[in-house]
This record gives sequence, C-alpha cells and structure tokens, in this order.
Amino acid sequence: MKNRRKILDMLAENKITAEEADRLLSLMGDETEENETAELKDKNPLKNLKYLRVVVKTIPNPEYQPKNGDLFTDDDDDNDNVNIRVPMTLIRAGMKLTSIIPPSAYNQVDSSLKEKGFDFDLRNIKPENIEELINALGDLEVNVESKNKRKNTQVRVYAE
Amino acid sequence: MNIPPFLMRLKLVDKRTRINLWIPLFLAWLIAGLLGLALSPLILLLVLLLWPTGWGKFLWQFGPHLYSVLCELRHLEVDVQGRQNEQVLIYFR
Repeated sequence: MKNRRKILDMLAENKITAEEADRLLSLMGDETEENETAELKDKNPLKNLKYLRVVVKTIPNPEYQPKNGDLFTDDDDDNDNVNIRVPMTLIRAGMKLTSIIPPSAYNQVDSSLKEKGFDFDLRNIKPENIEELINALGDLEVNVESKNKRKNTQVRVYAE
Repeated sequence: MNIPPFLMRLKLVDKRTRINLWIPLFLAWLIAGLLGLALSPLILLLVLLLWPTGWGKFLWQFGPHLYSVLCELRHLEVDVQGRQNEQVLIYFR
C-alpha cells in the first residue's frame, strides 16, 4: 500500500511518466500476488502434517471421593491407554496401492460390494481423489470424553 | 533416499504371554532381496505373459509400491495398554 502511494506521489510530482507508473504498479501487483500466495502456503497447515494420531487415555476422576460402602473391583485399577501414530505418507502409499489393481479384479470387488449392498465402483476413485481424502484428514479432529464415577476416558483422533 | 526400517520392536504382554523382541528386519530385507534377485527372470516372464490381462502391470508395479509402503513403516508406532496390564507395543527403527 505504501509503495502504491509512493508511485502515485511520484506521478503527481511528474518524476515519472504515466507509462512508467503503470508498469511499476503492474509489477507491484504481481509481487503482491506472489506474497499472498506465499503467505497462504505458510498458513496452510497441510504441508506440515506428518502423522495421524489416535490417543485414548483413561485417568482416575479427581472429583471422586470414595464413600463407605463403595465396592472396589479389579477394573478400578485398570486403565486403557492407546497411543497410535500413523505417518500420513504410509496412508498415502497404502492407498496408492489400490491404483494398480487390474481391471479384472475391480469387477470381482465391485460385484462383491454390490452383493453386500454397496453400490460403489472402485474405478471411480482416482489418484487426485485419494490425495484429496488424505488432505482432508488434516482437518479431522475427534474429541470424545466419557466420564463415570471413578474414571474419565478421553479419545482423541487428530492429525499433527 | 528412503530405506525400510532395520529393526522392529514387538512387545506383547497379557495374562499368559510375555513377548519382548527386537526383530532384525534387515535380515528379512536381505533374504527378500536375494530371493527377488534369484526369481527375477521368472517374475519378468510372468509379467510379460500376464501383461495382456492387466495382472502383468500389477506385478511390475507392485514391487516399487510395496517398497514405498515398507519405507514409511519407519514412523509407525502402536502403543496399547489394556486392562490387567495387557500391552501391545510395536514400533520400527
């Protein structure tokens, strides 16, 4: 914006011709587009996403106060904890394997799917669809919290 | 250059089983490589014979795709701790 103002001031003071001002403004316009694109790319988190995480944590409920008569079972000491890290590149490589399935195999798979009630044609899946699906995983976030008297369970699925 | 993982840590613990292994995957890759080399003329022949059916192309492309999947295993980690001290731990290095 400042540069644009400077150019207009220089034109007003006859330091540059109208053609030169036009050329400078058009060059500035290209630079502005490039900067905006670069900023968008920097802001695009997809390029930094490397893993799909599935985390399940069970923690004792800090608000729980045992009362007289409460029965403790073996389950009370058991906590389910899951921590799975799947690299996005592994998901991409695995899904690309489907692109090399021969056409004759597609027919068998499609007929089996139709028998189960899935009217779905595997041939409609293209590599760009797979890429789009994997990129969409970047926006996936699942947060589930379950509380009972003694334990709190948190389930999180997200991309990082 | 991407390379497949050399080691796999496998830990399985439950009431009756306790397995804690470091598996030398590099030996498996070595054996697979030597087998592939030894069978390569046969594989090439199969590719040529099956090419009209589409399975030849699948065979030809399956190896590189499988290699890329194996290379990405390096960053996979699975850590599950269940009830009663059950545990499954798998990761690759």
